[in-house]
Amino acid sequence: MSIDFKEPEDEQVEIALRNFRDSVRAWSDEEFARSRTIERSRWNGFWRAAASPAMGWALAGVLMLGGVAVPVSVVHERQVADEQAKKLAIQQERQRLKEEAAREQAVVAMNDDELLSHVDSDIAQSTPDALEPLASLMNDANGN
Amino acid sequence: MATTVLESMGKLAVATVNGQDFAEAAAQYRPQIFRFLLASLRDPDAAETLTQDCLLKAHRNWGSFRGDSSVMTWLLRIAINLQKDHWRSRRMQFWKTTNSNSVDADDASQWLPSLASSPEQQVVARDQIRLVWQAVKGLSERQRTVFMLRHVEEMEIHEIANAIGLSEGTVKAHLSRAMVRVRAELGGKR
Repeated sequence: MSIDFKEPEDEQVEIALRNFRDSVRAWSDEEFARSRTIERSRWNGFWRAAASPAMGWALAGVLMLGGVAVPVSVVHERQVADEQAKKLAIQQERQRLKEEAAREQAVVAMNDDELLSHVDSDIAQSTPDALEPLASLMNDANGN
Repeated sequence: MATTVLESMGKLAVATVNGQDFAEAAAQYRPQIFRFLLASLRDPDAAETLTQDCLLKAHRNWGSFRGDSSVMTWLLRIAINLQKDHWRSRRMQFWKTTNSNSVDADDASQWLPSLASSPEQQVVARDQIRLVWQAVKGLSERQRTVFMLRHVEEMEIHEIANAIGLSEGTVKAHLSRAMVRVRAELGGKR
């Protein structure tokens, strides 16, 4: 490969770069020729399995199910709680109305008793107007 | 003109890919991929593992390779991406730093070119190589990749741009910054 982009480097830098290049190549050739065993860790196997498409689809399915099921159960629980609260409110209202009706009946009953006793007292204590002239005549006759 | 040359290179690559068995291509380019990864990672075991991964990936996608670039550029692009993933995972696995097999710059500079024959030349060459490694250590990941492709693999700027997926101007900028660092390292010692 030819080099078409030439930086203004002085000779020392060029020599240093050439030495560097040759050194890297010598090192690479030596390392490349050396046989080595590459150990595969268990974690690599685990992550490779975790990154497999089947595992990805399974995880996506679980996430989707969870994403749908959790909001549905939350909404359902809320609906049940609302219904229970409504029932309780209706029962409390009914009880309140019953108590109010009983109180009104008690008030009405008390008023009737008072009226009757008042009438009774009026009849017993006052003299009827129609007999008053007769009573005066009787008083005069007794006087003569 | 440059586009025409690139297009003709691509067509040539298609013909070569169609005619060439994968095993043949792998055997031909494997040493170069290993060398690039070794120079970038300074870890022979990691370089070997990533070379295997690179060839495995290439084998899986061999049928879909359209030949827009040469086989070597395509393989290097895969290797560069694997190297990026490697560095990313190393950063995440900070607790594994003690298990790293990275060779120190001083040890890496022990490999001398055959040109340096006399003891004096060897000492000077070793010192220069150590300083270049020292500078390379301070480069960013992208600068290091560009520097290695340019000065170890001796690739052209447009080939590097094609392999990394950057514009030629950006590659030149990265290379220029890398060279400033190398010169500073070498200059400080002279």
